[in-house]
Amino acid sequence: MAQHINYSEQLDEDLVTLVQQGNKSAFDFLVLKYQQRIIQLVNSYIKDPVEAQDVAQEAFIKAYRALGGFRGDAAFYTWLYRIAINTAKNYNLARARRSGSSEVDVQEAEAIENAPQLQGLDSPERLLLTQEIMDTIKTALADLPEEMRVAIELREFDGMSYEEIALAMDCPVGTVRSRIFRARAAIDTLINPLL
Amino acid sequence: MNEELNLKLSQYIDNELEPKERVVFEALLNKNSELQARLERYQLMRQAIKLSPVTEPVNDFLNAIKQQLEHEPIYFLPKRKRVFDNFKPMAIAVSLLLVAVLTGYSVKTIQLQLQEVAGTQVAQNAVNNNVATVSAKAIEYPINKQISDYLQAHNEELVGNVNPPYQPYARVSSYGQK
Repeated sequence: MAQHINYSEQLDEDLVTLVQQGNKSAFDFLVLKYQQRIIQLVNSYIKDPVEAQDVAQEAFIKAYRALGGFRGDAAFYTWLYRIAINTAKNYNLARARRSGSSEVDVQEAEAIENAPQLQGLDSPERLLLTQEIMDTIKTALADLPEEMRVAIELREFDGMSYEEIALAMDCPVGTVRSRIFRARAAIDTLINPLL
Repeated sequence: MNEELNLKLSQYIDNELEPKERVVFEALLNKNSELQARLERYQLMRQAIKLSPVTEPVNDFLNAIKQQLEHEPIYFLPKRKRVFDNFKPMAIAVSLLLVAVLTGYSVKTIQLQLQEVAGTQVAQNAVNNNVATVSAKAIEYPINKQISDYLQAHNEELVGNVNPPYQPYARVSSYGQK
């Protein structure tokens, strides 16, 4: 069951201030609050769950080290997500260098064509959330290029705005808009025949 | 279906359309059954993604981080004085006022000093004028001439040191009369 994070930014800000004033244990609360989502986010880039946990831990440690420079210009979770995304990307990059394999070309992946013409209006009765549809959506989501998958997950799972996603993913808002739209279109091509 | 329309639909479901755009799009949506069907699928997609299983952290996830952070330095950044952040414009205004007051005070002090100097010069001039006036009046009034002669004779005796250093006023006066 998905657990949505309650973005109490004030609480985050207070915890960050405590850490910055020398209270190390305040950081534990930040870890506890965001560990699940950070692992989930890193898992979007790194398929192996054990590796994903390690990289998520590394992301938190990097966040602690960088916390001295955090001035609260953006929300803490946006800042933390960005660190997690960069850590996961760097991990993949380092692994690719070691193995000699190449990463998925994001630009190429984003050039996925839109879904074909849709059929007529479906009745609401047909939109029941069957297990088959659920599985199809999960598979489609897992098969998406990582940048698209992360963008739509941040939107649907975390309820982030396009602007927040752009900050977390370090890209323009227009790119976020395009990634989310294309991710939906790609999943739609798979679920449309089932409905 | 038009790709631009699909993009608008994606923005619409995410509440990322401008209010005017939203009104226009809703009007279009009400007429377009194909668009409505797609909107329902997008909503279904959203529901499915939200229901995706969450990856649980391993038991020692936090402990592993804590162990690594044990060797990290503790932050000792100064406390943020947020209360005073709102008073920045006021503080600047007060500073400017203080500077203005001090500058005004300094100018006034200089002016006073200048006035004092001018006053001294005026007094000096007045004294000189008085001396000149007295000399003129000494000629005009015999008694004054007598005093003047006395003083002159007294000075000459002091310098010459021939006679006793002073003579009685009556005697000097009698010289003058003679």
